Amino acid sequence: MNAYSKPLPIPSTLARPFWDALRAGELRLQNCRNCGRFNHPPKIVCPRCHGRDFEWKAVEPRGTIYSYTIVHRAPIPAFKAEVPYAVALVDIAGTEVRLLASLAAPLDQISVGLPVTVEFDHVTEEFSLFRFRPDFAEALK
Amino acid sequence: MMKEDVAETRKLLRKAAIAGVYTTEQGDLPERTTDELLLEAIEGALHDAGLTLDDVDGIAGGRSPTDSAATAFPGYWSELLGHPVRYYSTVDAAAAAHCGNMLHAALAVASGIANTVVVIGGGSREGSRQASVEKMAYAHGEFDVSWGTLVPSWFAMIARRHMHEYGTTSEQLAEIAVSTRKWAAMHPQAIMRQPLEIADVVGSRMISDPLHLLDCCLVNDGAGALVITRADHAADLRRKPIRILGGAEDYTFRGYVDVCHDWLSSGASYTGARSLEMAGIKHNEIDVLEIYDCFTITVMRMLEDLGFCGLGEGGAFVQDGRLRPGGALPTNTHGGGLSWGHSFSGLAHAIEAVRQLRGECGERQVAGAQTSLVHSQGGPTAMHSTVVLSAN
Repeated sequence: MNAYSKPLPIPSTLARPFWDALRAGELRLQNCRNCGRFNHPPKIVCPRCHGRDFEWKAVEPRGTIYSYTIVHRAPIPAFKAEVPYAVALVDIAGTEVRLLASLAAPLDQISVGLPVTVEFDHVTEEFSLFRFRPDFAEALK
Repeated sequence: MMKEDVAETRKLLRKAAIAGVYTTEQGDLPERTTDELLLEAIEGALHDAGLTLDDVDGIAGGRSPTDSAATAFPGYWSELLGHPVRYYSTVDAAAAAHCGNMLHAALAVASGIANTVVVIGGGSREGSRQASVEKMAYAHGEFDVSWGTLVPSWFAMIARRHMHEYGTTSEQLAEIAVSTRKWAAMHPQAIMRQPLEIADVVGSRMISDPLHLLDCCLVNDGAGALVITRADHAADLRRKPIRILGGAEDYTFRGYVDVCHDWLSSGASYTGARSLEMAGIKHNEIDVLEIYDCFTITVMRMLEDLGFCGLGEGGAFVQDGRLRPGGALPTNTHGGGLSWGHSFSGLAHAIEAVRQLRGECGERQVAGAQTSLVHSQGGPTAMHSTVVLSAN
């Protein structure tokens, strides 16, 4: 029984470990064993060193907001009930990776540079997404 | 990697010229099909040049987010023309395709692969408007589909970051919508012609903060075409030939998919600099600027990366009205995707450049226009192609 009404990703074979890790409550990113670069989306060859030896490394589920938007007009009907809602691009700590996801935050308290944590969102019995939540305590440090 | 020398390309481009252009009506045209709109555009551009369907041996273009898949197959065109197409190409890079298609067409003509190539764009949404938006949402892939973002959200995030870094304001972005509307008001085909003030733009409803409704382009039906033929042939045709002095492409990354990217730099820095170097002209020698404008922020960012102002200076650069009629840098003089129409935007900008350089724009004619830079962008600032055109 799938009560989740918004679109779910159709995972590619290459990115399946990313989604499986979310299911397990971890943020894992493709890491090049040769040069250490994190690649997202995952690639068949590292664009920096052209290496092909990768591992899926668990990274700290936190980062800072690079940019964000507050959506007032839902692009498709599935999001109509949610407007206005925030979406952010977040630089994931200790990596070259920037991820896009929903941002669960009071809309008047969002700013570029705000620290956030990655929350796992087990939306169906089979599938997990993630969202960002501001870490206001970290922001005050 | 690539050769730094631009002379070889420049020499080839001299052998081709733009001989004809055409734009169909723009608007909500549910009764018209993509095929039929494109055929009208092709025949219209050929007629403008003094040519007919019998003269065509190449087609470039034929894909856009709204078109039918059939037009992406070369055999479709052979059947339509009633004779074989000997050259077909299309850059599948969203709105960045158009200047790339023009360049490829010109080089095909210059190298003798074809004699006359029609570059096409546009079509009809054919009653599948919301369906095409849903399709687009999934097309952006597994890392974009679940968050309720679509194209405006991505450009909104570029705008937000630009505001954060450089203090750019909504009013400065709004100036681009206003200047563009002032040009549209002088184009009989433009969809949006009523006067617009900055307060109207910043007062329009928010789509994806900080982009308001009037920071966003139109979405409509319509088509256009541009004929490229041998320069020696073009000299004997109906219209003054327009030359392609330079051009370059840079398809940097997959928009909406690969987001680990510096959003305040783009391949336009390369395409702009290389096109101008190839053309042998400087920024201040450009009389008419045509920049693909899906959103106001797109124009501001491209002005920076194409080198008309420095990074972060776009807000201050536009706010004195220099893009407006009578301003120092007439920009999007047909009214752009923001006000004229966005059915095949990018190619529409090139068609307008040709009309300006032929001096046939009536009320909105930029006096003495001899040179134009045209830039096509595929979002979000991921893919780029540029051409520099000249009346001489």
